[in-house]
Amino acid sequence: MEILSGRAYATRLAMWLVLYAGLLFGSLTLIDRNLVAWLPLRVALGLSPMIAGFGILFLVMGRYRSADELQQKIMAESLMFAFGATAIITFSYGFLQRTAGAPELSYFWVWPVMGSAWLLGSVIAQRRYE
Amino acid sequence: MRNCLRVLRAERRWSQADLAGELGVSRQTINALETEKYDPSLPLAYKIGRLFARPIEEIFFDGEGVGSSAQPALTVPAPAS
Repeated sequence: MEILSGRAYATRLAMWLVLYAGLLFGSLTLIDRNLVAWLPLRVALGLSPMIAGFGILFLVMGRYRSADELQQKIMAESLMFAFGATAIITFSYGFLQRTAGAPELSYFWVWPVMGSAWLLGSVIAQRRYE
Repeated sequence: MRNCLRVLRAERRWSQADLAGELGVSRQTINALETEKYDPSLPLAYKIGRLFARPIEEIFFDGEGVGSSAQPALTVPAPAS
């Protein structure tokens, strides 16, 4: 299996993010200007940025598989932290919506919450083995 | 688990990066092993044993029981004053 160095990983991640930005900009431009009327095509265009999403998913999985055993352990611990923290935060907010009238939020907020928790979990797990 | 990896590495005058390269792991992993914050998997322990031509029980020990497994086979030399 190809072993991804930190630099190769960062380069590929940057490429996928550029593609994501391009697809997002392109699809929103076409949709907002009503240049595409046929609903299935609008849906496909609206979802097109997720092509880059899948690319990033497989890139991260490849990074995990090519990491050594301690790095895999650190990644697993940080993802476990992110998984649990996101569940707690989103459930808490859901309960606040029912009990305290907290405003509706977009599903887009789930990833920033999970990404932030992943970052925090990475810092905690890294420090454990320093 | 305790280990004498740092001593074995010092005998060969290797840096942590050198040892990491020999074992195909990151320098962070070598550091975590030497500071005894991480115990290696059995395959990695065997790889370390083969690299230093020693049985793994001479490199890794749990400080319990009797006999050679209770004590390190190699001890860290006192720093020169």
